[in-house]
Amino acid sequence: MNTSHLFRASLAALAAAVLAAGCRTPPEENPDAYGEGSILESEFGPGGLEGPGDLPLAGTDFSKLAPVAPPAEAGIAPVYFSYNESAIPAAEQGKVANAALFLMQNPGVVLVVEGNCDERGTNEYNMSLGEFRAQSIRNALVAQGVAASRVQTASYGEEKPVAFGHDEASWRRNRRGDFAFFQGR
Amino acid sequence: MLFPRFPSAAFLLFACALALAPAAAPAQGKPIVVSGEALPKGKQSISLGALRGDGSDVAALFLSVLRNDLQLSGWFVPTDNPGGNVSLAGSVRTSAAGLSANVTATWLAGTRTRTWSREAPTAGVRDAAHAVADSIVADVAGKKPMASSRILFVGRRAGAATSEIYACDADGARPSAVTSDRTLCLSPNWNPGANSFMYTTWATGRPTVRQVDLGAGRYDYVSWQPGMNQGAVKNPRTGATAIVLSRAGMVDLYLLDPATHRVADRLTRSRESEASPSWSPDGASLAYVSDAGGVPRVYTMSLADRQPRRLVYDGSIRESVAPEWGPDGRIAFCGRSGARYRVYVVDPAKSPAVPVALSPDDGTDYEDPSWAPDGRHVVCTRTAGHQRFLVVLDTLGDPPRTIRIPVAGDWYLPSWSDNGVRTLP
Repeated sequence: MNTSHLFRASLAALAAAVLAAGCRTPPEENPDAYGEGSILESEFGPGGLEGPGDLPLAGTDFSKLAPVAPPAEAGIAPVYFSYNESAIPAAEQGKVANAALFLMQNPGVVLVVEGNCDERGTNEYNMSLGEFRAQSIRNALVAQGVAASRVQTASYGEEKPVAFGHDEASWRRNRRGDFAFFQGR
Repeated sequence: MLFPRFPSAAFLLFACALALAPAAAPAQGKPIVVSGEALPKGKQSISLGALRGDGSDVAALFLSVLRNDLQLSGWFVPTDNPGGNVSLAGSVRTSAAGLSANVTATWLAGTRTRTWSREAPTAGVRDAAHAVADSIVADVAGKKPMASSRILFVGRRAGAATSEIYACDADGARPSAVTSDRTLCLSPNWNPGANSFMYTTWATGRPTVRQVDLGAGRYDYVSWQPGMNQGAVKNPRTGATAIVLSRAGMVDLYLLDPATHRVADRLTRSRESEASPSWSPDGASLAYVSDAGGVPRVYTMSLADRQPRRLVYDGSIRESVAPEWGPDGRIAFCGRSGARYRVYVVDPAKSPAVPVALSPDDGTDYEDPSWAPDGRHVVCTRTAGHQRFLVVLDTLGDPPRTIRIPVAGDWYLPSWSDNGVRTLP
C-alpha cells in the first residue's frame, strides 16, 4: 500500500469525515409497521448512508480521468475468451497488439482493462475469472513493452453483459476483455 | 434509477407490489389442522387455540407471525385444535407501549411449562413474535432457533443496470434496501452479531469493500486495493477479514488486520484464481474456491498449516464453487452436475466426505448457498426462466420455500445472519 505523505493526509481526512458522520441517529421506524412494500425505499432514505465522501485511493484511479476514444483505424476491439479460460486465444492476440501499439503511440494515455464473463457459473467465481482475464491482457501488454504503471484492471464478473440472450451466441460476446482508455496527462 | 424520487411514484409502485404479491408471511402461516394423524418425523404439533388476541391488528399480526415462525422452524406443526404435543396459552393485546404479549407453553403431557412476556412498540411487533418463536424452538424443542435472523441479498430491479444490497427477515417479510449506492453492489456477508455487514460496491468507480453498521446507519471502507476487492468475510473469532485481492498481478486470498484493515497475510500463492472464502465456525479454517486443478473446486485450508485440501472427490460433480461453512460444521456448496448447478451439503470431518444433493433435480439452477443459524436450513439463489430469486432449502426434507419479493427483478447472492442476541431470557 502506498504510504506517501499525500496518502496519509487523505487518510486523516477520511477519518475526520467518518467521525463527523458517525453520530447520525438511525431513521425513525417506518410508520408502515407491517413492513411489506418498504423495499421501495432504502432504510437510509434517498441520500443513502452517511459516510466519507470520495475515497482516497492508493495512486490515481484511472477511471476518474477523462475518457479517450481511440480512432477506428487503431483497431481497438474487445478480446474474447473461451469458456472458463483466461488465456488469450491466438486469434485474439492481434487485438492486444493493437492496444499496445495505441498506448505506445499515445504516451499520455492510460488504460483500464475490464474483464467480463458469461452468465454461467456463480457470481463470485466469475468476479475472480473476470479479474484473471483482465490481468492476462495486462500481462500481455506489459510483455509487449507497455509500462505496467499505465494499465489498471477491473472485473465486472457476469454483471456487465453486452448481449442478453441465454445461448452461446450471447455468451461468446460476454466472455471478453474491454479496453477503456483515459487521458493520463 | 433504483428508487423513485417522488411519493406518487413510490405509492403507485407500492400499490402494484401489494397487488402482485400479497403479504408473504401470514399467507404461509395457514393453520395445518392436525387431528389424530401421524405427524411427520421429528415434528411436534403445537396448539395455538388458547393463545388469544384482543381483536386488534397488532395482536393479529403477532399471532400470525408467531404461528408462521413455528411452522418455518421445521420442528412444529401449528394447529388451532387443542391437544397438541405442545399447548400455547395466554393473551396478546394492545398496550400503551404498543403490544403486550404473555405466552405460556405447556408440554410433555403438562409436566413442563414456561412463560414469556413481551412488550413491544407497534413497529416491533414482528421482532417480538420472532423472539417468542425462537424461545419456544430453543426451550421446548431444544433446537437452535432462526426466526430473529435476517437475510441479506443482492437486488437488481427489472431493467436496472445497477444493483443494491437488500435485507429481509428470515420469514421473508420486511424486504428493504440497505444501500443506495446507485451502482453495482455485490457479495454481501453478515458480520457475527447481525448488526453489520461487508459488501463490494463500485460506488467509487471501482470495486471497493465497505462495512455497513445498520444500527448506527454509517459505513466504513474496509479494502480499496487496486484491482479486485471481493468476497470479504469476517473471522468469527479474531475479526480478521478474509478477502480476494488481485495484488501482484494474481488473484489470491488475503487476510486483513481486524483493527486497521491493512493487508496482514497472504493465504494462497497460486498462479490460478481463488474466490468465495468462508470461515469454519471455530475460525480456524477456511473453505474457498480455486481453479488450481484446472476447473473451479472447493478446498479447505487450516490457518495452522495452510495446506489446501480438496473437499469433494465425486466424479459426477465437475465443478464445485461458493462454499459456506455452517454452524454445525457442515459445508454447503454449489456443484455443477451435467449442465445444471445444484446445492450440495457435505461434512468435511467425515472420511470419505460424501456430498448429498440438497436442491431438487428440477431442471433449474440452485447456487450460492448460505446457512441459517439453526444449521438446518439453507438459503440459495434459484434461477428459473432467466429470473433469479431466493429459495430456502431444508436439510431434513421440508419442501423448498420461495422468498417472494414483491417487486420484479433479480434477487440473488444471499447471506443468512446468525440469530443476533434477540431471543428472550
